[in-house]
Amino acid sequence: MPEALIDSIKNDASLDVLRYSIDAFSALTGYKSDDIFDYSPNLQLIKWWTENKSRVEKDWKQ
Amino acid sequence: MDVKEDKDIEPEKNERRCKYCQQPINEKALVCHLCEKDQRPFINRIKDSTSLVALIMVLIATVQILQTCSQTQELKKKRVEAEAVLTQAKGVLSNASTSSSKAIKKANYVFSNASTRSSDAIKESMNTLKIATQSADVAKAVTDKAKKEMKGTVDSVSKQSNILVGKFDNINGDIQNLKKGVSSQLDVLNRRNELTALADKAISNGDRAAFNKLADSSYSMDTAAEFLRIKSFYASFNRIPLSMDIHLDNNTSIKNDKLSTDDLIANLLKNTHWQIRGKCAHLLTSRKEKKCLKH
Repeated sequence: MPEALIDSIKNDASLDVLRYSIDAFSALTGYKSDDIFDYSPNLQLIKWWTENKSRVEKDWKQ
Repeated sequence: MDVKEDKDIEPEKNERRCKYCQQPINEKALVCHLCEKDQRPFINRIKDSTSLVALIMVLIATVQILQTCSQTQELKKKRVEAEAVLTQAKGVLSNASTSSSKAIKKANYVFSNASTRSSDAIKESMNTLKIATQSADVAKAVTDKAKKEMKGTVDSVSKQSNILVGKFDNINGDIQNLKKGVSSQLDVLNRRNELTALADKAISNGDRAAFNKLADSSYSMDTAAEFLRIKSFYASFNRIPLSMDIHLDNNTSIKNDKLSTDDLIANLLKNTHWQIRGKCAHLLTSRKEKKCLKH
């Protein structure tokens, strides 16, 4: 599911959808964004997910 | 001597008969001593012919005299004619003389008149010239005066124009500076207008492309302000009715809690209505389940 949300965050043309997708991703994974749209030239959210994916999935399994 | 008597006489030796009187004469005599006729035939012929010639001459002379008389008559006639012509010519000459005399008189009269007139004209011209000269002098005086006045005016105008040119240069400099300032302000306003337009699109239409374009533009206070305006709007307002049921693309209405996570994800990624995609994203917030990891 986070992957689907990341897909939406990367590609959806609507800022409303982007906002709720980021909210959902934060709620599900524990990611905390400083920005309502998480706008960052370095794609902070995706970088974070790459680094924390295994940990988050492990937490979910537990 | 009797000739008839000699005829009977026979010529002696060395004699022969005269061809005319038949009397015996010397054989070598050229002229008969009796009839005194030349025994040479051509001489006699000549003598005979001389008479004829004389007669012819007389005739010719007569003819010539007649011709001369005739010519004389003609000459007389011609002379008369010539005299008539001469008389006529004299008349013509007399007439011509009279006419020429009249013409000369008339010419003299005309010349006299012309002379008088030309004299008058010369006098009038002289008067006119005098008046014109006086007028020219007056005009020259007026022109000189006008020139002096004009020069004074020109100098004054020149000074004034120099002052005005100086002022104009100053004003022009001010205008140029003002133009630069206005141009600079106009550039700022144009840029701000572009940024505001992008932000308006991002707010009113949820246009992410406009938002990205705004984010990609070089950082400035204006950009930051528009960024904050957009974020402020999205933080304060919600345009997706979160409590309403979802209406899918096939016009079916489904209760929020009846939708599976798969349906939510599928609609999040593929539904054409942004409000449904947003609501699906919102509903996924509460689907923190272990099975969600498989997605």
